[in-house]
Amino acid sequence: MNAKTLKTWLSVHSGIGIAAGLLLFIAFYAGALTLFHHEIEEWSAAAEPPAGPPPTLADAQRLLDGVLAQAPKMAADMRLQLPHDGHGLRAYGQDPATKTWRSFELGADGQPREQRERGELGEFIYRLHYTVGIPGAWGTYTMGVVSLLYGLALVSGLVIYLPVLARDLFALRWGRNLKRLWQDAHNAVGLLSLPFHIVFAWSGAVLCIGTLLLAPFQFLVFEGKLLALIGPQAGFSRPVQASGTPASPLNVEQLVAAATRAAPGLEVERLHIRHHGDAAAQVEADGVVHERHLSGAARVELSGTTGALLHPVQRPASYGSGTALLRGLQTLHYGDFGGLALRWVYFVLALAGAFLFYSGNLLWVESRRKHQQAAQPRRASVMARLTLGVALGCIAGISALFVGTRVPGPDRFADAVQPVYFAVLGLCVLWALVRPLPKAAFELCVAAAALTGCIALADAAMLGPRLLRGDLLLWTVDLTALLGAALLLLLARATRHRARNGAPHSVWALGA
Amino acid sequence: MWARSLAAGLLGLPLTVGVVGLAALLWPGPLRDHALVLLVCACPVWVGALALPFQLRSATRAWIVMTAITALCFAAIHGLKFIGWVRIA
Repeated sequence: MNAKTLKTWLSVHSGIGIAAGLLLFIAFYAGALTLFHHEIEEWSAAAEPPAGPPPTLADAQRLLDGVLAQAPKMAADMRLQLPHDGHGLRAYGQDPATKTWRSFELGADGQPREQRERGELGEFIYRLHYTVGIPGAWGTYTMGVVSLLYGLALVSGLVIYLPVLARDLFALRWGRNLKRLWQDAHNAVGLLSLPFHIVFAWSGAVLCIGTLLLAPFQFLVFEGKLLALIGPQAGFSRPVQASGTPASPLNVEQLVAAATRAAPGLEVERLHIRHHGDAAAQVEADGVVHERHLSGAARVELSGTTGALLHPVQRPASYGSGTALLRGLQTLHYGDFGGLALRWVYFVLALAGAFLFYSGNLLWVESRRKHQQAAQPRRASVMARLTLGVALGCIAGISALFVGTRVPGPDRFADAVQPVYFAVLGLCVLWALVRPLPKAAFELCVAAAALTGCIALADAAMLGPRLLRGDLLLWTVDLTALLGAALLLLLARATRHRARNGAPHSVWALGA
Repeated sequence: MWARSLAAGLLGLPLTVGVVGLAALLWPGPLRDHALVLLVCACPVWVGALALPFQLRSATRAWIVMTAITALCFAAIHGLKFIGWVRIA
């Protein structure tokens, strides 16, 4: 490849870094935490009184009947989530009467209680992972496009690095040239975790804009017949028409029994009920079977009145190639196929990914440094400030949410989650933009470290006796937080060292 | 750079739809069996289409090559349907 093409690829790589690197940083950091979604929810509920006995199928029936008494039109299309690993009992769907999405849980009095749209800690971090905080569907679409750009960044990074790969892969040159060390680290992390990144760029795009991407195929190639052709394989529900004749529906227990009869070994997690109480009622029972396949997702489609099987059972052993690829990508993305150890591996790889975007941006800043003059290009300084503000602001913001969850209050912390995160993030970005850069870098690292360390302090202060009794989950969260705080402090120390003793003509140097 | 980026942004998706759509129609066997696999592969193909203009020698060439591939694919899709070699069933 000639030098001109190589230079083009370098601009593509750094251009994407500038445009999407910070969004990817947030997605990776929040994604690393989302791997432990249920643990985080359990952690945030640790201060609450222990829940009663786990809900039964009879409770699910009570919830279903109660919701239909309150909102009869939801009988046309609603979902009933049965309790399974960490998920509670919940009934939800679009209410045609109000045209809004409604979700109910079973109150202590046995009556359905509408769940408000609340940003619980784990839920907020999860949403942050796939929307980076942009509201509505736009956040998801943005992240879909960002996933494609991330794919292009991988291609361009590989093209740039391939010519020197054999020589440089295992080189980590410590020495006076700090930029060389960062470059080596960026390359090594990028190349050694490339398979992980390919899977995430691909599955991220499929998850965020996969459905949207079907539209041009549907209309330009498949003459409007695509969804009928592949809908069920892709996990879409088949359309159901009501007959208008009422018929007595099977109850939840009978439906679950019919589903397990059709697919032995199925653990039913969700019932999707359509036209409940109609003779044409249909129910999709979704759940998992353990068949030693990458994905365990299975679906049984039943008549809602007789329990008869309407279509062949979809289970891993009988997946078509498309379903196997799609479900496989989803499973690889969620990282829930290999137990706790695998999720920690994913956690480390995701943080390494976040480091990739952070180091990439700082390398871009560094390669724009003028060595012999005090005045540095403005765009390099702005980019350095944004990188610091957003990356450390995201870390500090999420840590602040953890701390806030432990603050006692009437309705806990749920309503303040979103404002607090954006306030901390905004403050950090503002701080990075107005303070002298080397000072801002040091102070933001210390602030993020302090907030992260406070998670353990808040736990100790609010739940002291329980901590001492030895709760593995609390200990793990607190030790992880302390380790994170220590790493941030090390970063702060290195930043200050560089500000005082590093190259004088640098955006990081004090008194430059 | 901007001309190439614009080519990637504007022509990347049509090219992907054309190439993947044509591949799906030409693939032997019933559409129901392989359409979804190829559609899931549309994402990496799209990334390839985004990369293409930067590998070509000039921006002009990038625009010509990408337009030509897209036009050829859609011409083939409609041509094959017209002469009845492929049917969406």
